[in-house]
Amino acid sequence: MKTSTMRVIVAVVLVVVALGAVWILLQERSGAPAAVTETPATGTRQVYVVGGGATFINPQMQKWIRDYMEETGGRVVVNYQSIGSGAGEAKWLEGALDFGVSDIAISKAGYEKLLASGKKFIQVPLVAGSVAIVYNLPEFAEAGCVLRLSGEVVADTYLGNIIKWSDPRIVELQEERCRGRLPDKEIFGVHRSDGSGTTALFTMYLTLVSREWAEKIGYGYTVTWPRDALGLGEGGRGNEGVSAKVQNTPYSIGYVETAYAIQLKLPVAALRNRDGYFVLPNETTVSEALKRAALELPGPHEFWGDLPLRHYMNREGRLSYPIVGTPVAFVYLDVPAETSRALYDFLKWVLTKGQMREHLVEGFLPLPEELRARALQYLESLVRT
Amino acid sequence: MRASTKRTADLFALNSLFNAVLILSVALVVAVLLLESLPMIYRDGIGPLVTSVWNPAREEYGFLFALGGTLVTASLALLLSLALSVGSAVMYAEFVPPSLRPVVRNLMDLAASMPSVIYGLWGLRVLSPFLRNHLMEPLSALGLSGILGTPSPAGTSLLSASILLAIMVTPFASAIIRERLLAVPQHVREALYSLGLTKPEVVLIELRYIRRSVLTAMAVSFSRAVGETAAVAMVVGNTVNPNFFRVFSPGYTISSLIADQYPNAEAYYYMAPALFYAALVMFAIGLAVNLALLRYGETR
Amino acid sequence: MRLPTSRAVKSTALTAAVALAFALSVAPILHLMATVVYRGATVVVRNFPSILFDIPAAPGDHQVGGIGPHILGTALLTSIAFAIGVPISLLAAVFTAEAIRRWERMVGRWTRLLVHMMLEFPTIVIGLAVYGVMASITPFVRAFVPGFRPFSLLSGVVALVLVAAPYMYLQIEDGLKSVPQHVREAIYSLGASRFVASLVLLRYLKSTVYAALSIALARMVSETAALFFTAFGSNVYPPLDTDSLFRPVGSLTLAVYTFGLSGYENWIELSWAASFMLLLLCLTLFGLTKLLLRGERRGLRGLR
Repeated sequence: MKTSTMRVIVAVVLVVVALGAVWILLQERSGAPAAVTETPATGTRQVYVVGGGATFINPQMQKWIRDYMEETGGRVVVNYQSIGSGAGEAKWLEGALDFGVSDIAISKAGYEKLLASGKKFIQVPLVAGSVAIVYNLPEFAEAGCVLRLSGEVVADTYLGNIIKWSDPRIVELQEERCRGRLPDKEIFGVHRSDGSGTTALFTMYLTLVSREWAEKIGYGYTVTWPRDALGLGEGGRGNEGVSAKVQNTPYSIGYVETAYAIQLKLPVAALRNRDGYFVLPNETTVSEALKRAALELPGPHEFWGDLPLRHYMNREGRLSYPIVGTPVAFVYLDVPAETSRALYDFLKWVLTKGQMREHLVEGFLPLPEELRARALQYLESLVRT
Repeated sequence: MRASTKRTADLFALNSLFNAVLILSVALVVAVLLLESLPMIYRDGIGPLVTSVWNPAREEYGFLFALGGTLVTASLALLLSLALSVGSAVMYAEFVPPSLRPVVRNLMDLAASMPSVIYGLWGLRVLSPFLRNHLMEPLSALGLSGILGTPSPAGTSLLSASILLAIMVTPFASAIIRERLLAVPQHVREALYSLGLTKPEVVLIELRYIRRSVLTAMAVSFSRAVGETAAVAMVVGNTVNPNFFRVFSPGYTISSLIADQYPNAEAYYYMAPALFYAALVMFAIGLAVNLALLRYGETR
Repeated sequence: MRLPTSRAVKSTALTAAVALAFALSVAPILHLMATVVYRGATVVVRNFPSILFDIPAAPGDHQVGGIGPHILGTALLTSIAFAIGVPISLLAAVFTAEAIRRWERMVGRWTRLLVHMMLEFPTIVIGLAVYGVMASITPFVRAFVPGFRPFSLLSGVVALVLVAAPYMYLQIEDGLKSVPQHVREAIYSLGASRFVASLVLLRYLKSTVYAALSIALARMVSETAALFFTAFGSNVYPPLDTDSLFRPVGSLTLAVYTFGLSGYENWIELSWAASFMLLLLCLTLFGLTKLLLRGERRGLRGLR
């Protein structure tokens, strides 16, 4: 009796699944998923391009792709997967991807390989990125204070030279009324455990502002963290992991992409910029820093690997936020015309309409006008050749 | 009639083509692994096996922490699942009324075939926070954190990974043990009872009788635990933790290290070779443990 | 002789331990299934039926969209991998088990050893190796098939075959070896060729074969790590044409992993929905096997 009941249940499940499958197929036939799967009215073949790389830009990329395909009727189908900046570069070099995206552009090693292969390519920035320093200080939250930090202090904290929140070097940076509120507690330093462009940008900044950091640690997707060795720091996986750790650990400090800090509403520290002003990362301050780099942007096929270090970060101007970067897309020029046309079309949309508020995911910031103009100019070589 | 059998006679030898396909593909995988790890083996020899540094900026890679993490999580999972699977198999074979058996068996068999990534999602969102709040935090408060480490806010840790692995492999292991328990000849069982032994005592003797199968079950569990990637990567915490015996702290296993670091590995010269080297080492360990256990299990 | 009371205590303690072990191994599974059904079914029901064919919504959106490309990908990947993997492992197992001549036995031994080794690879490594091979042949293949890509349905299929074939192979081979000698002799005495005889043997082992195939299919459906750098993943429907085999596809397991680790509420919901569908899929496969095995011998036996 038991087995016969089983059999009936299984049969019912099967029938339901089968009916569901038929129904889906019928739905698709009738064109329910709208523009996405349909060939456009012009009758031209759909062009398919594959990209991959930086994890940070993935949410934004998925929104762009969705919106772009909806608007253009799916003439160009774009598949982007967040396989990591390093893999984005490597797999693009191996010819597995039509375009790669990296948080800090093509590495030195990759650039040498490219030069050796003699392939023509261009690089374009896609969106404004910045790294926010987030913290968890209950005393500050109560009093409505905003933490102020300088690059040297942040570097010394992660180096393990500054142990406690009440360190005079931190105290002296704060507003008068908040100084007394810094507790005599140890700072818990959170960082990314996985390799990431965010870490690369953050450590580039520390390299720029602290000689000791530059000598001992350097920059990269993954670095060693001296504070961990003191038992006063640990890693979190992804921007989400770092955010969660900071949120749940009182007296901690961490760094995340500004988009995540905004989305998760974490307290963000104001950072002292080159001109000595304390600025928070937002559209104005990030644009202010990036637009200054627009005119110095190297040619589309030059080495961009240390671009943030040399041109983006720690810029002059009282409103410039110091830790900024741009995820960079790279595409080959010598590919079938169909592919380069499709990539041109998609990237152009990203750099024009894609920068408008309705196409940006909360927390992502548009490129400043000046940088966008340069990027569009670079993009033209995709169709000119 | 005769003629047709003659004609098909040679077909059997053709089957060997499929053996060749399997052999060739395994050989290819091993070859890729060896080739890719060669630069690192050539550069550092056995250095990475005995050091715990992960400093790509200086191209220094020592994966002892991940090796240790793998061994610690797999062994803990093995011990836990030994207890759980033997216990539940005995429960099934000796205590569960026959009318309820199909329900239990179907449940366990279904659990054995469920995607590990579902276990991972559940481990990340449910198990890890639970373990943190109800096991690791109280124990740390008792002063064990000095020995076992401090739990992270999300509870992702080597311990969470071990427990999740134990939960995952138990249905497999217990299926093997249970079938063998049920296959213990009735006359043996009756002879034992006729000696006036109680049920648990009989069970203990039966377990000794089938200990080879228990070993097989353990071998299966161990290799599953060592090789599991997706679920472990979601709960192990992914932190370089040289003190890998501090199981309350987050750590790495080799497969989670690969899943976590490979995405950016190729921006460096030696990181990908180091990761492949790690895979090779783990493969060797898994194979050795497995063959030893199987060899022991097969000598009857 | 021990005292009866101490024996009674020991017996009770052992019984209690067994019951505890049983409870501890079943409770998490029940909780897991309940969680997946509760969290996943809510999302699926609320967004039914669009969740079955729509593409994922933008992150942070108040809608979830759907996981159509992932369902399609899982269907394609597993069905093709199954169709390729089954004959390979069945026939190779037959050859190994029924080997008589010296060279046959040697081939059989090597197959068995290497397949055992294969089981020891973490699946992510299998995926990386498949990618490595595919990427290195790409330049040559592109001369004939311009649309060839190393991130593709094809790579995913190869990876899945390599992941699942060892299970089928070992189980069926074990089954064949356990066939009583008199049965084998009876079959051969009918004068059948070795090929025909081995097919008859497989028929004789029907329940083992079904069980092996269903386990292999479940492994293919469940596999995640091997797909990272092979099938690659896809949140969009690729165009259907002659190049479809060489384009990346998504999978439900990749959806669970990537959306599950994201920080966006609506993507996490998608992750639960994908988990729920995977659970349903496994349940269906499982039920199907039981249906096929009705009246046959006990269900999933001899997992190794």
